[in-house]
Amino acid sequence: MKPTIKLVCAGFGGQGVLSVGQLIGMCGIELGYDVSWMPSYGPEMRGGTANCHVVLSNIGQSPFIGKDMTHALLMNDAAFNKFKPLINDDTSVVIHTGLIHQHYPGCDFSALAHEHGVDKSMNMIAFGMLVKSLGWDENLGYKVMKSKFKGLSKSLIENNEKAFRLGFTHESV
Amino acid sequence: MSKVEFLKGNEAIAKAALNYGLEAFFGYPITPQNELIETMSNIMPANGRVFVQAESEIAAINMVYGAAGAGARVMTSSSSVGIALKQEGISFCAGSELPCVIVSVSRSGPGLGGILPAQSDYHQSVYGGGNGDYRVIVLAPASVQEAVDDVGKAFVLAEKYRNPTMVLLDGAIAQMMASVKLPTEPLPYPDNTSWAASGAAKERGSRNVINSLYLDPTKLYAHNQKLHAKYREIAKNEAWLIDHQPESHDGAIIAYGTSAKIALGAVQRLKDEHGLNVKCIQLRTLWPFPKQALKEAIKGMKFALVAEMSMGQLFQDVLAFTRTDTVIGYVGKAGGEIITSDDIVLGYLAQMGGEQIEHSV
Repeated sequence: MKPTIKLVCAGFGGQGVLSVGQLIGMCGIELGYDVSWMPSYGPEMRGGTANCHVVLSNIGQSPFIGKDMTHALLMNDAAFNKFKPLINDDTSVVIHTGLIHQHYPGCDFSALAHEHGVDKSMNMIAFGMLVKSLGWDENLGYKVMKSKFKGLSKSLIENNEKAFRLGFTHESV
Repeated sequence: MSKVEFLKGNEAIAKAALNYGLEAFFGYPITPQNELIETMSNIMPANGRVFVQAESEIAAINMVYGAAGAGARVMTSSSSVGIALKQEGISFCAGSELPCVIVSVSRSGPGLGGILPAQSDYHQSVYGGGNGDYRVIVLAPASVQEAVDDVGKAFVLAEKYRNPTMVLLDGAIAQMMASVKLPTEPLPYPDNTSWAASGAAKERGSRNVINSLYLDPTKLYAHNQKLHAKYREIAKNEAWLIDHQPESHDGAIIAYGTSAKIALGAVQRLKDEHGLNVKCIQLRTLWPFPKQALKEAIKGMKFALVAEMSMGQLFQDVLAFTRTDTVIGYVGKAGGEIITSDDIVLGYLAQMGGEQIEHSV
């Protein structure tokens, strides 16, 4: 039995949290999981807490995550405040330290992306960190990125891969 | 066997319908089913099938009437307020015995309500808002895969009984992406030459007429009796539920759709955290309501809890249809708030051992 993964990705619309969740879901399919990806599609999409619940299980479970959240990627204060009540002792949390000033592991995603010239690929750093923290193979990340981003410009794909590598090798994971 | 894909519910339903052999789709946009019609607008013309974005929901259901009357395999989809507009046309389809599939992606109401998931269209789906003594078969999937499977089942039932058939899901199932396997083969097309107005009469002088107008009361009463006999047959053959834990007898949680998925988690927690062997009973058809199977599944139990994302619509029916010594409780949310396993677990613990309530609110 593979471990059940219940991941919440949340942040501003435009930070790419929904895409990160989708990529994790695509990894789950490659690994033979039953996968669901439940996006917020209501008024929060217009505000500060765009989010998705990603559930990877052996048998189909509820697509909604409660206090059994195993992983969280929180990219702004509103997202942190919204999902903090779901954090338990076993939850692996990654925060955007550029925007959230709390004592949790994380990374200043925008600063790191800017430093390496991959500003538009900031969310792929987070994806890399998640893949590493889930104990998955680095190549799995490249495989699903290739599938999801086919059709994008070569430079954007290269930047995404570079950003993913930054996250996968980041010291915090 | 098809491969596992990662698709949004709306997209999976559209692609599945095409693969099942859908010939014509008529729709009108509304959140949260927009990706369904959007996908249809791409894949139907590309595969030589008919796609029309109608000028309104009313126009779309009347196009369904026309295409179904001509013998095509046909479908429409909408959400809550849009389904409300289709009710007259659904009654016409039922009156003229036209097979068609209606996908209803429910959002919260009443009125414009909101765009988040709800199950407050139980009455709308099961009892309808069209006129006359008619019934619509209503299937209730709880996952994207079940929605895909139910679309196929809906075509089979619609064509077998020549009756409108609805697949009722909430916005969560339509909006989520999930691992899903799509059908690869079209369903066999039934012989409809005896009734469809396809322009292919076998001999001169005979013609098929699609009609729901009978001014002679003797003939209309006979038509009503014929329809009613058909509905009894459907009720006998097609009522369907899933008893997920047939070995559990301490109590039950009764739910459909997304609430049933959440109830499955609550059942596990009641076992792990409270040592209670509670079963999840998932209703798969809402009409016909699986009355006998439900009575059987809760036989001898002291308590069963209805969990729904509406203000007691299902609870009232379960209470009316079971009529046993089992106390039926209610836990629910509405307005786009999603019921949680906490709500269900706490509701169960608070109400088990209590008296029968008559109203959910």
